Amino acid sequence: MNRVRGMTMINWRKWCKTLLIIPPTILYYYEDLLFGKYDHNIASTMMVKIFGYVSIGETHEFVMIVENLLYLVLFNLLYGNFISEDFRQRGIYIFSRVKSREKWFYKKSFELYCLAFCYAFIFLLTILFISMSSSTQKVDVGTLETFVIMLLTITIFLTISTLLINLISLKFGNGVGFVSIYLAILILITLALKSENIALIREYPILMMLNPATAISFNLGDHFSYQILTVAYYLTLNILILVIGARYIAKYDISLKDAESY
Amino acid sequence: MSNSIKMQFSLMINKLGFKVSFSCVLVYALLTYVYYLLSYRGADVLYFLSANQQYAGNELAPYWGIFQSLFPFLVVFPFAFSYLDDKALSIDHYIIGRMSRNHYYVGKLITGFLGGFIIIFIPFLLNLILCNLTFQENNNTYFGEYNLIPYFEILSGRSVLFNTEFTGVPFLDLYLHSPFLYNVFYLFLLSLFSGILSIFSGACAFFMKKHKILLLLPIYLLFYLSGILDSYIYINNDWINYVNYKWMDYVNISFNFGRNYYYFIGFIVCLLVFSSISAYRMIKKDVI
Repeated sequence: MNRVRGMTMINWRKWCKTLLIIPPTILYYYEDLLFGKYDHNIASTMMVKIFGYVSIGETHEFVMIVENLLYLVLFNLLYGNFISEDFRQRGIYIFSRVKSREKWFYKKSFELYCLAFCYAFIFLLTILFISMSSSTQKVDVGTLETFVIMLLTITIFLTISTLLINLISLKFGNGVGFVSIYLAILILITLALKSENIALIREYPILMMLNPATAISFNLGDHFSYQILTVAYYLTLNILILVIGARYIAKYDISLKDAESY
Repeated sequence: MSNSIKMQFSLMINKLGFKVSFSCVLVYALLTYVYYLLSYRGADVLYFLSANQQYAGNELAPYWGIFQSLFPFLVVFPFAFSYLDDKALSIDHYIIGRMSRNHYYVGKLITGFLGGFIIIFIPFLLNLILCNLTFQENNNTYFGEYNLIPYFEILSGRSVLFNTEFTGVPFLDLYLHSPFLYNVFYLFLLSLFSGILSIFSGACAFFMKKHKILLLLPIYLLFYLSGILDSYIYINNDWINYVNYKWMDYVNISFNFGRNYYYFIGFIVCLLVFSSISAYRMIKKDVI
């Protein structure tokens, strides 16, 4: 939101971009809309549409998979320059006016958080609609619980990854920022998928939760305490990145930029 | 034209984007080699996978999945952002003033092609040479031995005994002549494909004014939509009429069936036509 002469002007274009997730999601799951209805649980169908799963002994844990990462990639690309662009193009203009850079960063992060929430909500609503149209069952309390927990975890994960991209972009440019975070996520996914081969994780499966690519869906729908723990873990990560990011932004020299070498 | 390419090439190799994408591919190529090196430490030579089967461009290579997921973004990095950088720094008019518009825009695309080609060719060639220097060509392949079912099924795709749905590996004669030359051939294919995708992303930049991060989207979406098309064709056709639309399968050593290179060439021609038209449009555009 931009402040113009005491009034708050909402940049609708930024918010409308969140709708871009609908067409590719519908296109990807077109089969569910065209073919008949089956008797399957809507919450489980939603989970399978977003995550894959890995088996550790007798327990099955959901993990993020590369094939279903479009929602993450799209959000990262749409908002990967949300903060860094302001810094690079209008930095001197903005920071000669704002009192505290840290406050400005928190404000922008909050805006990013709201955008991520809206984006995740639209994405999950599309998935819910697709799942409902392919199932004979109806939406129950379990489905809503899964929806809310997924909404929270996906929102926080989107915010964390996009914030990191923005922070890396300040130093190395948008492209490098995006690729480094995407590569890190791919490595985390690979680790999650191979966790069965890691003896420590076989013994204590809860350690899988430390991997953000797994934690996003850890035991979703089974144990409420784990779900709360997952959200708390993500919030802690988010706060950590916010605090470190704000300090980094406060010390960053605006005049030192080399646009040519990006 | 050569001056334009020389100038832009020297600019490209000093850019962070080129260095990052080259380093990513190099790390992948070396990591694959080190993985095999550690896997076969202390093992009998008979159990080694054949040297040319350990090539990093094989779809069964250990980290191919990660590389494949990163590929649509890596090809954008070498030089596609350059046009937007020139615009942002307002130096495009000065550069065009020193050469013609034709040389500037065509030079951008040719340099982009060179960048895309180099980031793949050098690291993968290094991997191939290292594999052949370190390991032996002991004919221990993924296909198994002659007269075994996988041999007919995957490699040749034909037999008087088995009726297989596999169509065999493309360019079979070349493979049977020399697996090394086969790898080199596929290395060229992958590098050319990378170069052409770099041209395409460079051409997409001509339509943009800011938000250069969005330049990473077109090739990713192209691959994503091709994947959806592929699954649609796969479900709605029998295996005889199935055509593989996963373009990466055409440029790596893959055992997936349904590859029809006429379709692939058609896709490449579409990309090149789009790039040529967008460059032509920019050359003819009135700047006043």
